Amino acid sequence: MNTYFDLSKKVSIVTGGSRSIGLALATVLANAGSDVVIVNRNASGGDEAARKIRENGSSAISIPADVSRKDAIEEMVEKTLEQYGRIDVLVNCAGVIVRKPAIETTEKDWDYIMGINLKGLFLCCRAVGKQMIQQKRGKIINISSVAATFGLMNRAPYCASKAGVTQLTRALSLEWATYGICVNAIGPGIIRTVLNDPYIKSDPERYEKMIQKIPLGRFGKPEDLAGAALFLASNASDYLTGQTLYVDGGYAVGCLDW
Amino acid sequence: MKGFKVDLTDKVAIVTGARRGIGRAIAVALSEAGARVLVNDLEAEELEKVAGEIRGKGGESRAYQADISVKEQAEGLVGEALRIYGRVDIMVNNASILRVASFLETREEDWDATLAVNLKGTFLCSQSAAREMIRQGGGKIINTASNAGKVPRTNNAPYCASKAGVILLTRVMALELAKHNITVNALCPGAAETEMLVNIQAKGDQKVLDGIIRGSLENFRAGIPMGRLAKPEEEAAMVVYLASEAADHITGQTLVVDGGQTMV
Repeated sequence: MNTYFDLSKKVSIVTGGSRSIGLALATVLANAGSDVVIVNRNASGGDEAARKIRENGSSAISIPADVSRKDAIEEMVEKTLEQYGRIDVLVNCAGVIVRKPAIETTEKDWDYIMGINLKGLFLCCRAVGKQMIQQKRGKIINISSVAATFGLMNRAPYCASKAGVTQLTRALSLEWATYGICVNAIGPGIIRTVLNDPYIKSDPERYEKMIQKIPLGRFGKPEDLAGAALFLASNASDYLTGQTLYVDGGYAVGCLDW
Repeated sequence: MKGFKVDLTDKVAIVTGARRGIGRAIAVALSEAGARVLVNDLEAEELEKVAGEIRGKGGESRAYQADISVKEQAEGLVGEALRIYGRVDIMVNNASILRVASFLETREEDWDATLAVNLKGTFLCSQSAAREMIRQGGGKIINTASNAGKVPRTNNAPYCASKAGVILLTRVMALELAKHNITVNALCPGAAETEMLVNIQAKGDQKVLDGIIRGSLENFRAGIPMGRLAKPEEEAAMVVYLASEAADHITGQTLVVDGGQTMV
């Protein structure tokens, strides 16, 4: 049973893996034995993350690429195969958010968010899926959000993109199930990271309101998602596909008080 | 950042409905992850074998026969864990019965028996275990629901209703118990390789084997994207995950492990 969480000899790609949640996920996969490819728009950020993982004794490389660009993603997959020869796990963590009222949201905001959160995720799944089909096995983990099922104020394109991730996850899991490829998503609740910490801290009243919506009474940590990623990447979850696993301290349970 | 281990050493788990099938696999898997396991079922003989088998592999397990749909017996089960092991960290409410009949032909007795074990039993054991977990400062409650609690199946009316009840009970308990550091989640298995199939295979009667297994497997396969039934171990793996620290921030969820059959 303890080998369930073992990723020895596996190769994992983590997009958006240079910091915050992506780095936490890349690190936990590496600690479980996997070789790791960090994909990041910012080359120096990706290099730094890969270096940190190597310092821990794991094999990691960084390949800079913008997930919303098809050619860059196909090239990224080629480079990964040149280096490691196979791909067992794909974690689609690259994601962006713009907080604005819908009425002020520009077309550019929309295209930017959809390009990375949804189209980028599709491009990565497709490019890596081709390889996994040949291998007749693979695990794809899409980072979604509670915003896939709950409307959030001032984040219209973000919510729409994450709802799209839910359905893309289901559709791909159907098409690729016969190849032994599991496609699942993780739906984080409010995870406190270096990226959103200033926003979370900026309004004490809002801070209290946010905490009150979480039954477990605390924001999530990137590490809280790492367990889910490890589970979904390992053979412990071999019969699980098409699902979104919410890791949200109970946020999605529903109402707290009438 | 630490790596997660499926390490349940020093934890005490109770698994109801553990004499065979998914419950047995859950008990074995929890034990392999290090937990001491009190197994429960209505029938003693097979149950003792499960406990014996776990001990034979170097684990620690005891059997406790009880009807968990009866309050005193459910409390007796939790009390037994405290008496033997001194604590309860993981409560797995897995005991279920399934009576197959069309809605019109379902008897009141079928309804009462199904709801008593599947839903009331879950309520009773959870309440009893939660009281102890609050004293201990936390715990994990894991309920075996079913994908039939989310989508309807014909000829399974009481079962579907009971499992839908388990799912909402799970969410309410998750809300109320979160402040006590108790997470409550539900596993929703799809069709798993049953004891019946295993027995038929063991007997090796090729005609029966072909007729029954191929027939039913084809039917099941048609609706399962992964093209196969679940192994009980694959359902148990989810329970081990939910019981581990790796799932500390997950509560009130239904985790569907059904090869893509429902995706709801």
